[in-house]
Amino acid sequence: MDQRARNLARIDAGFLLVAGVGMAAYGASYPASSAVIEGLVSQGHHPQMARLLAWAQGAWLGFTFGVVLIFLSAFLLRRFARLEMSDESGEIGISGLSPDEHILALNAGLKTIQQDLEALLSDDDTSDYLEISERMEALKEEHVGGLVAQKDRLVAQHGLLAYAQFISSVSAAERNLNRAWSTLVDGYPGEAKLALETASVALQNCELH
Amino acid sequence: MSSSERPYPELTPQAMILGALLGVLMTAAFVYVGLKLGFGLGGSTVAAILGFAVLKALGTGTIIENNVNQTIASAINVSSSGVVFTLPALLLMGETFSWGAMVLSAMAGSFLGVVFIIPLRKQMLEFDRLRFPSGMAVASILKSPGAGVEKLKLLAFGALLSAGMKILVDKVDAVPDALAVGDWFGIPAYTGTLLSLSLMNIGAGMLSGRGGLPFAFGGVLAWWILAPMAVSSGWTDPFTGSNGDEVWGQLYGQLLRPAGIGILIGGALAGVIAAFPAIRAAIKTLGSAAKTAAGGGAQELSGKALAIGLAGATLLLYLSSSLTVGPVMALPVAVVGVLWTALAGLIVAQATGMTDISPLSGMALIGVTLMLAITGGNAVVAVTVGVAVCVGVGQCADMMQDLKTGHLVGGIPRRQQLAQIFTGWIGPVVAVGTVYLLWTATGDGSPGFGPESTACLKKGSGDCLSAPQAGALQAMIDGVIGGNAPLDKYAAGGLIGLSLGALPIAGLGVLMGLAMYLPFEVTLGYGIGCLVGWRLESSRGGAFFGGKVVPFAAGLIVGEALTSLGITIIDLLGKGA
Repeated sequence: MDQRARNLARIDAGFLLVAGVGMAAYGASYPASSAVIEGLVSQGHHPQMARLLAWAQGAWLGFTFGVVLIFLSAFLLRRFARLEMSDESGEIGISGLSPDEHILALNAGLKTIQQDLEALLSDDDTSDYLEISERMEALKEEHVGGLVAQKDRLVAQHGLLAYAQFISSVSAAERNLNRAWSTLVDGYPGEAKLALETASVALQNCELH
Repeated sequence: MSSSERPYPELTPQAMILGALLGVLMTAAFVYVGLKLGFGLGGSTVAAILGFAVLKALGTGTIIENNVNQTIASAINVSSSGVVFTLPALLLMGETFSWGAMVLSAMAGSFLGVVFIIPLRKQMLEFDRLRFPSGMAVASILKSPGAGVEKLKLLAFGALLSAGMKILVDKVDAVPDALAVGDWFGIPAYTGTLLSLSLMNIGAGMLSGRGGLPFAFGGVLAWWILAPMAVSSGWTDPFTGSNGDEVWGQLYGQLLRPAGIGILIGGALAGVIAAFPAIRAAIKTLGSAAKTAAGGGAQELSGKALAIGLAGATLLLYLSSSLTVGPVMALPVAVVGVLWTALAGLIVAQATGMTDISPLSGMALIGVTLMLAITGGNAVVAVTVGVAVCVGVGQCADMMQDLKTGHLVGGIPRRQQLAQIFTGWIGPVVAVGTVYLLWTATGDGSPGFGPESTACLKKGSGDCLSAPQAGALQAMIDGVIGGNAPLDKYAAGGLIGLSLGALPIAGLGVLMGLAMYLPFEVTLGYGIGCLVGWRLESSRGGAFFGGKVVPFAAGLIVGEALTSLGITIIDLLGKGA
């Protein structure tokens, strides 16, 4: 199936979904007739159960059809998602970098920032902290953002559990990068250094197999 | 000691004391506001801004220390809504109950909420990357001193714009609170096609971006498709046919809102099932894998600590229930109460994470309905457990929002979690105590609030606390006891929510359910915000979004939140309250 045909099929599945949700929700909203409820209560049903049965008598057909359409659209959308994932070239995301390349770049960026911070600390010069904090933001934006953007594909390729373990380590590194930013802005470069080291350690645990 | 060796102030005594003081003050004040006006207020932004001023004056005031301050203040304050929406209903009904049991129940809820939601931090913040717009807004405030002049200007501009609009709407009455856009296009009034002029709502939508669009779609489906179909099918009362507001009231209260609650619950259940492997992985890593060599200890509370907390909180809820229904009946009541708090907490935390909107009252309603069913219509125990559910659910959303803020500023989750656990219990004591004091304030045996209070019977009295939310819960309890709970809508909605879980779109059921649960004027404004945020992020890139859209949208949220609080205080003082 080429891309155009797949897009059209996806739109069809979307319409099925909208129709299914609409039909099911319309059925869910159906107000049970009070006469039917009273009749069921007089037959010995509990008032709440009578209400449920009365609703089911009036709405079951449309409601069930709507739910079936939702499941059908789910089946189709999942199938297209799988086809798309398997067609995409290997591990490369939209940014052009694979997860391993993002991790390598993150590590390299962290090391450079650590070295520059070390140099500033030894000079006791705090004037360039702002420049370092801006680089931290940029590093996070490009590489953590790049990895998160590939979530669906990575889950499809490696499974939810593997992705969960991988992104957990990336997030720990991200949080420590945020910590380094805050502590640097607050004027505690020693704590920032420690946070950057923690971020590097977290990245060492990043494996996606 | 050189600047590079100084210890970094984080979980300091001054941050904890300031947070506790602000939390206690806000809890008492917000209980009063809730009884008077019927809505709750968030305290995180206020605490964060005051925190800077006070902590700086004390010689510290770091970003992460201030985050601890706002975490504690909101952990305490969050109980005010949970208590004020539920407990006063019993007083209005004239029921006799134990105030001690009520405090125990609210405290149990507070602990339960925190221990339930902590294991889901990784799932919600790291795997699903839920945005928690208010959490992002508070992080923007905390980071503002070092974020650069341009971001600060955008934050301030957004805040001023939003504050100005709020003043024009609420104080000057120069513009309406919502534009009747439906009238412009000839759309029937019963669809409630209004555009709320809440810039906070639009700002939250901007921060949610593409992820919030299914929410807007749900609103369109509910009000532009289902509502006209229901009316044309003759499902609304024909005697109210010409009055758009009355038809809207029927559609909303009797059809769409109950179905929306069901979809919310089913969608959340499906989400838990689908994400179970990731949740299991997250729980496995608690306390052990989160330990880092250079981090100096655990980053998360351990699973064992949480299990102990859970057991203790369950025991507390059992004790409070047994004071009302006896030890045997208290067991199922406590077990169902705990289970419902867990599920409802998850739903509210997810909804808040995706949209910044909390369906707290809907979850309390279901909790009370469940308890009424178990106890055969015992309103006292239903509300006693309802208090725990409401407080617990609020804690879930608040904890997760604070952890989002903490993630963005680099706080250590464990420290925030400990701060929340060790101070959250203060809120229930203050909130229940304030309700007690206000109820007995007259000293002559007549009620101090509610429609039958002396002040409210004197029409136009500025001291009247009408307790509107408790009145609504009282009416709902009467309806359930009379066999009129919309069980069919809950069940059908639940099935739709579960089936939506089969789609490869995370959180769709929760978003669709929430859209049906809310009036369209909220969904429409929010949807416009989502479209703007999505458009800017996709066309200008993530750096532009983070650097320009986030501070501006955060400003919109902060400006309206602070102005609402200011206007409320001015109004209450003006009425001589």
